[in-house]
Amino acid sequence: MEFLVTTDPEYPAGDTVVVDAVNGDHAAMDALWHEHRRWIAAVLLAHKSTEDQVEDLLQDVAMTIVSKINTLRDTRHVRAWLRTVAVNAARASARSRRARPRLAPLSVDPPGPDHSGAARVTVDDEARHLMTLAARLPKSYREPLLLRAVHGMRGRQIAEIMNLAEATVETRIARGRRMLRDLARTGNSDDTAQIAIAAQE
Amino acid sequence: MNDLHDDILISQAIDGNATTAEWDELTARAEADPTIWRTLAATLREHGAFGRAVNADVAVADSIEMPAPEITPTARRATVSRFRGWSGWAIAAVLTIAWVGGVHNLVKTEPTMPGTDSAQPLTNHAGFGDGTTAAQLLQAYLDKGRQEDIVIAEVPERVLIRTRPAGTGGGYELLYLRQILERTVVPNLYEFYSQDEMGRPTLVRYVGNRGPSM
Repeated sequence: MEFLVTTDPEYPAGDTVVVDAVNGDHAAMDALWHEHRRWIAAVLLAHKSTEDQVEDLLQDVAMTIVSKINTLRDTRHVRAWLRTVAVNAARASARSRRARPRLAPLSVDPPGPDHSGAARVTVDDEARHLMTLAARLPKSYREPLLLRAVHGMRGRQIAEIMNLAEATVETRIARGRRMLRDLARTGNSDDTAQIAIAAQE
Repeated sequence: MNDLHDDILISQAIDGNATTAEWDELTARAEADPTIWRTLAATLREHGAFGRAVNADVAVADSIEMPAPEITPTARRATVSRFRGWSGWAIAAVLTIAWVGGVHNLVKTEPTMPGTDSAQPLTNHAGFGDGTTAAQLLQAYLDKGRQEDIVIAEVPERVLIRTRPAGTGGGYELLYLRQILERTVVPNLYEFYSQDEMGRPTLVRYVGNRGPSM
C-alpha cells in the first residue's frame, strides 16, 4: 500500500471499504477518509485561494463525503470522485469569499501568534520558499507535483485521481519540476511564456 | 532528444522509476553535456525540499476526523425539520397558556443570559417586563457582559451581507452582521508542535508569547 495511513483504520483495506461506505457504513467512511485525506489535502493546496485554510476545506470535504458518498455510482472511481469533491470545495470557498464583503477591521490589538495551521510543522526556509514558488505554477502542473510529493504517490494513482493518462501525468511532473527549478534559480521563470502556454492547456 | 525528454529522464530517475535503459540514456547524455548532472542534482535537492514542505502542510489532514453522522448537514436538516414540525404546536400551546394563565407566568420561563446564573432569568437582571424587545434584551446582555468582564465591546461597524427590496410596504431588507468582542480565560493552551515518528502531530502546552493584553 503506497499511501501513508496515519491511524489504524477500523476497517480492512480493499474495495469493500468503498462499497460499504457508499452503503452508509460509517466505519468504512472513516477508513476511506484515513486512507485518502493526505492526498486530498494536497489537492486542496493546489486549488485553494490564498486566504482559505486547508483545515477548513478538509472539514468541508469530510462533511460532503458523509452526506454525498451514496451518490458515487462507480466505486472504482472513488479517487477521482474524492478529487472532484475537494476541487469543488476549494472553488466554492473561493467563490463565497469573493462574494462576501470583508469584515470590518477591529480596532483592537492584533491577535497573538497564528496557530491556525494546527498540525503545520516547521520546515526549513528552502522548503517553504519552494512552496511559495509552486503557487505560481499553473494548477494543471502544480497539482500533480504536489501529489507526487505526498509520500509514496505513484504516477498510476495520480493519473487515476486526475483522470489523466499516466504518461501525461509524468510529463506534467517533469515540466512542473523544470518550471519550479527555473523559478528557484532566477526568481522569475524565463519560462514565463511556457507557463502561460501551459496554463492554457 | 530535447529538453523535455531530458526533464522526463531526470524526473524518472529522481522518482526511482527510471529503467536500466533510461539510466543508460541519461548517463550517455550527461557525459556529452555535464550540465545535465548539475540539473539532476538541483532537481533532486528541490524535490527533497519541496517534499518536506508539502508533507508538512498536508500533515494537518491527520487532525481532521470524519464528522459523526448526526452532525452532517443531512442530519442537521432533519433535526430542523422535526423542530419545525413541532414548533407550530409548541407556539400554539404557549399562546394558549399565556391566554389562560396571564403573561406574567411567562417571565419565569424566559431564557437566561450566557455566562450568568441559570437560576436567574434575564428579565430579572434587566428589570424588563413582558414587553421586552430583542434590542433591549441584547443591550441588557451587553451591559451585564461588561459588568462581568465577558463582553469587551460591540464593534460599531455592521457588516452588510445582502440587500433586497422588502416584500410589502416598500423599503429594503438588509441582512447584516453585528460583531461582539468577548473575552474568556482558559487555564491552558495547547498547540500542534511537531510530529512523532509516525508522522502524527504531537500536542504540547503553549508556553510562548501569550499575546497582547486588551
